[in-house]
Amino acid sequence: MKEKKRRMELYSFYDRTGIERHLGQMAEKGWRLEKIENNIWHYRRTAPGKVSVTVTYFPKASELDPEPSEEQKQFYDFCEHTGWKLAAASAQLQIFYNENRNPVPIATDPGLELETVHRSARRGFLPALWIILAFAVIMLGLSAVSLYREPGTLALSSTMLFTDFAYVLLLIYCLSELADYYSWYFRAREAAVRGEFLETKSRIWLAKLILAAVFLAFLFWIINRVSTGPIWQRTVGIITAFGIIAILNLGGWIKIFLKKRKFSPGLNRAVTFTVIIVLCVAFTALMVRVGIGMARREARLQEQNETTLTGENLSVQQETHSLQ
Amino acid sequence: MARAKFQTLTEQMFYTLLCLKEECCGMDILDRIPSMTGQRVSIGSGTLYTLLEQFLEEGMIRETKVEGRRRSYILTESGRQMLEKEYERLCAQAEDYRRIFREEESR
Repeated sequence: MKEKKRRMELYSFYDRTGIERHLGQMAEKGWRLEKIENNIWHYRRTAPGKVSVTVTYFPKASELDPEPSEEQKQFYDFCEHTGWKLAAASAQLQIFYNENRNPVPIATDPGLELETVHRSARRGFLPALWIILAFAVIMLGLSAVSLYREPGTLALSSTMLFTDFAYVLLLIYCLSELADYYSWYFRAREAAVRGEFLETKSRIWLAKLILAAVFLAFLFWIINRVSTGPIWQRTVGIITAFGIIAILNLGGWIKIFLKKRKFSPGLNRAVTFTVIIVLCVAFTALMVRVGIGMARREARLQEQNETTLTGENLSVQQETHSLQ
Repeated sequence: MARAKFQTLTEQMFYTLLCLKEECCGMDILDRIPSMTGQRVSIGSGTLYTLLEQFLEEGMIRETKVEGRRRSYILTESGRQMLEKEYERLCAQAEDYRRIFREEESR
């Protein structure tokens, strides 16, 4: 029987209600969360049963902290005093379980809790969304300019079609996340004045839909890549795509490795970023070089074939003449 | 923003400051508030953590002792004034209630 399980959960950072409900259901099925690493949630099997789950936030925490700060540990001590045991944490997101019946909630003041959520969101979730949104807009803008200058390139290049589609989806995702968050935040502020916590609404279906669409588009791109163009072009294109994906994944593992080696968040960020950039540039340069080499080789071969053919033609013509 | 927030105190803020008339740590406050109010009021650990942080920032309490992760605090003069102001506000409310209902009863 499987004792551990890993899942990629697509809940929004601020979706406390959705995460609490989901983890409560998982606990009833006998699965408890034990850590979150690289967006993958790790569960271990336990006796099925009801348990209270609370999702809260610690604004000063960072995903790259080698270990919780003294302040954060003090916060955990407070929580443990009322029966709340930390299950997992990812950046500012903190998840607790409590075995007691009707425990005192971790947050008992809606206004203060909302302030904590917003401070946490402003440290990671919101800037990340704005940066990704800006990136998608710039990439789509560049694509539009190139399409304007050379109409028809989009239709000709499956790579451009795929990347533009992915940027459009990224744009939709960021816009919907930002709109949902701010709409919830402003309504939650009004609710907090009335002394109420406003539940969050899960839009997990949208994240799943976008992920599925990106996967299908990638599949379309791969099929297109392997079925058209010269063999060297197909090989180089596919190796480059998978290589970049592998490097980005490697970045995640470097981050975890440095975190376990107790590197400071700043140094961790700098090293991971540098390694990713250097590897991406080096790998792309290598692939371009390989591609150019292969293209030249093919051109040479083609030239040789043509010369041989011309020579053969000439000798055939000469033979015909001499026969005549 | 924090100043505006402490123009009036919520029950949880009020009792947290009241507990800090004497030096105590966060975990003591978590236990004292329910016993002080006959289980009527309790405060969440996260809420207390944030409140202590904000009271410290506003100078309403000060840190007195650090033993490992156990930090103790006590009310400052500014905190005491805030409590006094809140007490007067609550008394004024109670007085208004009494005046209106006494007037009704005496008619």
